[in-house]
Amino acid sequence: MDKNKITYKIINDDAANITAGHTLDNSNVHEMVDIITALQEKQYKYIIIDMTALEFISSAGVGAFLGTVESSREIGGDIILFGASDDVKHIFDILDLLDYLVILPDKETANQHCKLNV
Amino acid sequence: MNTSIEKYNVADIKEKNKILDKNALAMDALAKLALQFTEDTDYSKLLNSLLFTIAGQMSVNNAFVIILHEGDYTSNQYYCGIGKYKNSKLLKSIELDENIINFFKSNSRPVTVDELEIEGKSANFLYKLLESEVSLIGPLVLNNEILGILAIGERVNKIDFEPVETDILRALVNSITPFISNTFLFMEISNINKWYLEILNSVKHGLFIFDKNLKLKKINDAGFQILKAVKSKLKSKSSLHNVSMEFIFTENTFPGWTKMISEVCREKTKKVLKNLKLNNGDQDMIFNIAINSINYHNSETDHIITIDDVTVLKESEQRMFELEKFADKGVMASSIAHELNNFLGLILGGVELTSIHVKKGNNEKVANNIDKLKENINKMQRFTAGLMDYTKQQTTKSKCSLNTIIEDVIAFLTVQKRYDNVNILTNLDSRIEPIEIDSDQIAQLLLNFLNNAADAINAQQNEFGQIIIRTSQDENSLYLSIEDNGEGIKDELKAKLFNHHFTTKEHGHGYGLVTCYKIIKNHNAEIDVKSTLGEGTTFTLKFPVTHD
Repeated sequence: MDKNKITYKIINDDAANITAGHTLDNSNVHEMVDIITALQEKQYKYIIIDMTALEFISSAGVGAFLGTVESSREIGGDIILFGASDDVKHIFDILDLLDYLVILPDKETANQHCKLNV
Repeated sequence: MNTSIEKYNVADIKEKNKILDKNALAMDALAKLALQFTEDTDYSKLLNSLLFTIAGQMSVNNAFVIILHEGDYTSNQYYCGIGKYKNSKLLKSIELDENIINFFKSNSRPVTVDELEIEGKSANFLYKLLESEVSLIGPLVLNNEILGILAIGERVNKIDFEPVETDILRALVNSITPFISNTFLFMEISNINKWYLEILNSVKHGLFIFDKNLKLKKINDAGFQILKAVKSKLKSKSSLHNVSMEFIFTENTFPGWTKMISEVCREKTKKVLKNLKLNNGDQDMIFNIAINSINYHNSETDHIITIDDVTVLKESEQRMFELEKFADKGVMASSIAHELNNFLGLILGGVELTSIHVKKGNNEKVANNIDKLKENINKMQRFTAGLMDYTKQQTTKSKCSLNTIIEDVIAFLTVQKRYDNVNILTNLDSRIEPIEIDSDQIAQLLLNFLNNAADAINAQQNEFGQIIIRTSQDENSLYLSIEDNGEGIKDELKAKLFNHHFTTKEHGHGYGLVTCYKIIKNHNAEIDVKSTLGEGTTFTLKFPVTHD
């Protein structure tokens, strides 16, 4: 099984969940962007990114969220990240993004943030 | 212990560590980008990777890159954007002029839009950048040339860019620019390759390119269809790549082709092999093959084989040949009808005279009239025998006496008005052997030559017109010559004699001598023309004689 495979699941009419693989960098950033963009085009307001398995994120991986997050916010939604390891969170920290992106500790918190009953 | 100093130091160290980490992240990003640019050839994907990396590294939502075409900054630009610039009209509307290019040539660092100091038409460019909230803009420089420009939007954390960050951006962009240039060249090459493949495939002739070892390098669609026509099991063009010529033009399907083609290839000359036949099981196919060798890199040679399926053309030619015969027949129809009427008039008169003599019981005159009737009927029979079967499709050869054909044709001609002022003489060698010819076609050939001779004499208004027909034979050939004392042919027109539609006659159609030439070819014969203007013309035909 491909450890870097990115999968997604529709939660309800407003939200969808994307599960990142072990790494998110140039090799699979296009796949992540394509999935996010496709969900945004289908008007899913909240895109919840499960980073539980993510061990490494590059600048390009971060750029994938930065380059797409505004589209979700324009329709009253957001891109919610959860389950990030300390190493991954450190990357967001050095890029001064902890306050800009919504990075939550776990799935439950992420769901609550989206006010979802799932 | 001075706690305030300690606090300051910790914060300072943290900040320095952050910068170091950020630099390390940039280095890692650069390494990954460089690797991707050397491994991937998808230009759009690569530029997107660059933009996402820069977005992440510089903490921005939006970025775009415009790649310029050398020498042309205003059109055919390649652009790519992420975030708000992804489908932005801005990228399509940006026009770069010399002012902008010169600015970036002297300022290779990324600059804020406020720092852009450009004038003239470039003000429009500046206004569009401001309107689109472009924050930093910088050139992609390679060998002191501007390859493109890269711009990013405002930072998401609203913190101004530090000089160290613009240095990182500059380092990232400058390091990756050579890769972008190379990838752009690869893309151009790839596009040229696609373009040239489309051209190859749009050529209606079969095109085969063999390398110096006569292995197939390239084949176009028409070439593959030619092979498919005789080798129906072939599945794809790609399966033929690097296959030897002898397996492409296999001996049992393309008999002798490989030998003939490879000989020309070895000589490295241009040559056209005409009318090569093969059978695809259903029908005979005819091809013309052009062979040309081209050199490249000083030592390598490719052999370009162009195969033209002329089966349909040859069929059309054959049909045209038949139509020409029908056309000739149409032209002759009225004079034939006239001559037949003449014969019928003579016969009818003879019958009426005979009837009168029968009633009078004058048996001697009756017998005499019947003899004359027989003679006229025989003439008419010979006249009609002189007419050929125009509808026959193929050349049917059999052993025939050329002299007999000549005599039959003359018998038919002499009663025609066109020959009123023409005396036809013969000098036929009685020793010539019967030869393999199509008697009808040879009769038609004679008719055409003799009619032309008579017309040339009439055009000269020569009251003592004369045509001399001669036959002779040597060991290998049989000769037939037709000499007239007509107006002759101008030197410059001799070469055009056998071209379609060539005629010097007011009402001519130009098919007669073309038909003659076709008949000559059908008999592997040769023709020689000697003519003096105002004195006359001699056509000499040379037929090969085969000895059993």
